[in-house]
Amino acid sequence: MTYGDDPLESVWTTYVTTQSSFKVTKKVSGRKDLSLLSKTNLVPVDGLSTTSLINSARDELEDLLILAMWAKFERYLIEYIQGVGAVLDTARPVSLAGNLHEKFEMSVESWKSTDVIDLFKDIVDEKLRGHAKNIKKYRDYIAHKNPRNEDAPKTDPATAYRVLSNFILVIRSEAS
Amino acid sequence: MADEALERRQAFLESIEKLFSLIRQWIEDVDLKIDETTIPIDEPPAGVYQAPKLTISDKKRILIAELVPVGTNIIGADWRVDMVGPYDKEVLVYWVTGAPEIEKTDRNETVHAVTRLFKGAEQPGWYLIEDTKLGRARSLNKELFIDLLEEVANP
Repeated sequence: MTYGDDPLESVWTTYVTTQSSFKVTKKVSGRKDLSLLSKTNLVPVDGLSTTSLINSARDELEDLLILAMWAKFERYLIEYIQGVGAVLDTARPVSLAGNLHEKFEMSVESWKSTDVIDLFKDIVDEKLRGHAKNIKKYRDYIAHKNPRNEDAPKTDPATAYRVLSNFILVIRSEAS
Repeated sequence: MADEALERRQAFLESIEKLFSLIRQWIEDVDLKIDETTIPIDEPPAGVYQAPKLTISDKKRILIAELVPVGTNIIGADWRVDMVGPYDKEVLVYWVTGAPEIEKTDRNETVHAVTRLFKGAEQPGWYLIEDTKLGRARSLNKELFIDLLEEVANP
């Protein structure tokens, strides 16, 4: 399956599909006949209703979406910069060019995300870069639950998607 | 605490009070009950403060929805309240000057185009962020609010 050129689209589609599945399950759980829920962990037991299980899963899914979108976004930026740096392969002297290019490609992989974002300061609006950095902060908080990062600004799936996809869109329009 | 954070917190609390007052008007002709309590919000540098929370239930005291203040430290919005029902959740945000603008500039910082992060949000006010990739926001009014109650309360 292909998802066009938007690197975030596959995770977004997965998120929306899962959300829809949750809604269907909740509708089923509202019926008297719960046989459709048999052989799943969604049959109400020990005071835990199907709805509360789904609501917990929904909240967890939102965090997982942010993690997944950030991973795709970061990978896109790294590969974009590596693509720009491909000219190093044709640098002179030729005997140095290949090794220099290889070193550059490896080095980019370990650059800090905020530094990578700042490389685009002449292309991407300052506020949009700020929002993207804040999504990274939130991503770090949900990934590590480090109490020192508790002051990370909060976000929701739609806003995170808009920020990161707009960032990519601006880069693309610059490149074309 | 920084004056700016204190002012922001105050504006947030006043904005919620106005929203909750509107909500009371919007559902006064519907047979629903409203309870207002408070919840703590911990937000550096403002610290911990109490913010009002609204619980809407039917006449049998079955939960329809809660309006839960999230805070002012929100990416891409000035502050946020979540509408949480037994079946779903919706995100309501407030923009003091409309949704964030994104400027397309050149190296000389000449602005060539301005778009907004969310379409349909040019004015200050409360908006529903639609959970779609299209990036639309809808201004909150009575009709939309009643629709959202239905959405979060029913399977």
